[in-house]
Amino acid sequence: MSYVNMSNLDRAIRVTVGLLMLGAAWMGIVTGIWRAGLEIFGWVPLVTGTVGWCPVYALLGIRTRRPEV
Amino acid sequence: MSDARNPWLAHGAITLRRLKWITVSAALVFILLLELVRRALYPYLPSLSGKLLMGAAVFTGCLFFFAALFSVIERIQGSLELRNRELLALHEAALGIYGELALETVLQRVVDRARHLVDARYGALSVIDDQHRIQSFVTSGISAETRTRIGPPPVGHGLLGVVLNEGQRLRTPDLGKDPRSVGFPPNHPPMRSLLAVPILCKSPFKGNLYLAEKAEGAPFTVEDEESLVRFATKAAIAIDNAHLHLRLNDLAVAEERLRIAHEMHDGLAQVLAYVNTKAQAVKGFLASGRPEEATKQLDQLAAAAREVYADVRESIIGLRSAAVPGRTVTDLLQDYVNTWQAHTAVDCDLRIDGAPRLTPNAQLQLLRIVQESLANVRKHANATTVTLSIAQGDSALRVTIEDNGAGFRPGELGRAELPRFGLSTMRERAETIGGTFLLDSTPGSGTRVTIELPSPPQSIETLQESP
Repeated sequence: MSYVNMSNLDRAIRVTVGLLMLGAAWMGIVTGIWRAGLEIFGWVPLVTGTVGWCPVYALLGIRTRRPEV
Repeated sequence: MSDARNPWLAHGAITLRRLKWITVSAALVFILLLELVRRALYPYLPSLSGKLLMGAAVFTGCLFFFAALFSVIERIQGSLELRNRELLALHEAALGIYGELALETVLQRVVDRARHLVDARYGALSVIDDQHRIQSFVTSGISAETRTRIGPPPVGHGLLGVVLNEGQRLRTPDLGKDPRSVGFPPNHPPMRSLLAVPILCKSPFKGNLYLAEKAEGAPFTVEDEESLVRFATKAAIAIDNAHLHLRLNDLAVAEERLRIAHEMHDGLAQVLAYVNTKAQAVKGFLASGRPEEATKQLDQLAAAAREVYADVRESIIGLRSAAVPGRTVTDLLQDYVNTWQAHTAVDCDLRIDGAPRLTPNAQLQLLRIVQESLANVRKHANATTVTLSIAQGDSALRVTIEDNGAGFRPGELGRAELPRFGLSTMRERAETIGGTFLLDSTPGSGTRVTIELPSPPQSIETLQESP
């Protein structure tokens, strides 16, 4: 029984979104408080997408990954 | 069993370790990240947007921490529930085999229950002889027709031989891909997954349990293997028990043969020696021209023959009454009393108060004691009426045999006379099953024999009777 509760597509989307958020902040596309916000919260989809485990899914009992046989 | 051998214990230990790690290290990481966030938001903290961002960051951190904690707890709970279900299934499977004593039925039940325990389509149990050859092969999930079409049972080549010769467990997801496999005989149903464990008994029995074709084409898991090994241990106890029961029956038969031999020696052989002596005497009297004396001797000879005839007939009735399966001890006693009355012309009143609760061996011993007592009444008491009372108490069965015959003084019987009345045998019979034997007799007032035999508790008897 694995802890991973996300499908590969879900993970890919999260990693992409995370990288875009962080990239936008670091490349100066956004500034001010928005930049700080992206710098902080960009890590959330990046980390959850990388490890494949979403805390909200876990608390609500959602799985986008197919159950193991 | 060590954690390494038991996946349930090993899994539980890992999850608990993870929980400890999360509760300690995650809190530190959370504080560190909070500090980094605070620094990043430092210029904006006085504004409302900054405060909102800081709150959202704290909330997200808490969400991660508690979700991780609950996930681990949920996994521990799931693991415990799964283990509980496995143990219940194992317990139920074991209960199903403990109630049976016939070896053949025990073996069939073992393989049936094992199949259901690990959700396998086919099951088999091989009984092995001293030369590691398969002596018999009990199957489950395969129809008699299919078995006939497959042909003779396997001899232990290929994968069957691995468990057979090496006495080791075997678990494989695909039989055909294993290099040790030698394939199936024609008409054999297709099988992929296999799980096999040896059954290690204390009795001379040796066997292996094979399960094939897990449901829905899945392979057998480590948990299946552990469950089956534990079940095999319980099956070994049930098989040992059936072996002991079989041996007990053999011993009972041997004991009965010995008793018949003693009876023949004490009764029949003595009378035949007596007949020989009398015949010699008749011959002598006839040779010396004394026919009256010879006639007297012949009368004594005829009386002895009648006596031994009655004894033999009584023994035969007794043996027949014990050899009827499926009848209660009350039925057997009633039949015996009816036949005995018809042959002796002595009125016998059988009174039964409550259904007797006795083990099968105690029932046999009671029958023999009653038969011996009634034989004594016929031979020695000169009685017209006998009362046989059976009363079932809470913990013991009380049996009284009372006649209105001549009676005697038990204290005046010599040691040599005791075997003649079978008193010592009756006492021994009662005592071997934990009972007591009491004789009460006075000349002119008849004789009373009282036997008390311990009864098994109601619940145990019910358990023995249940299938």
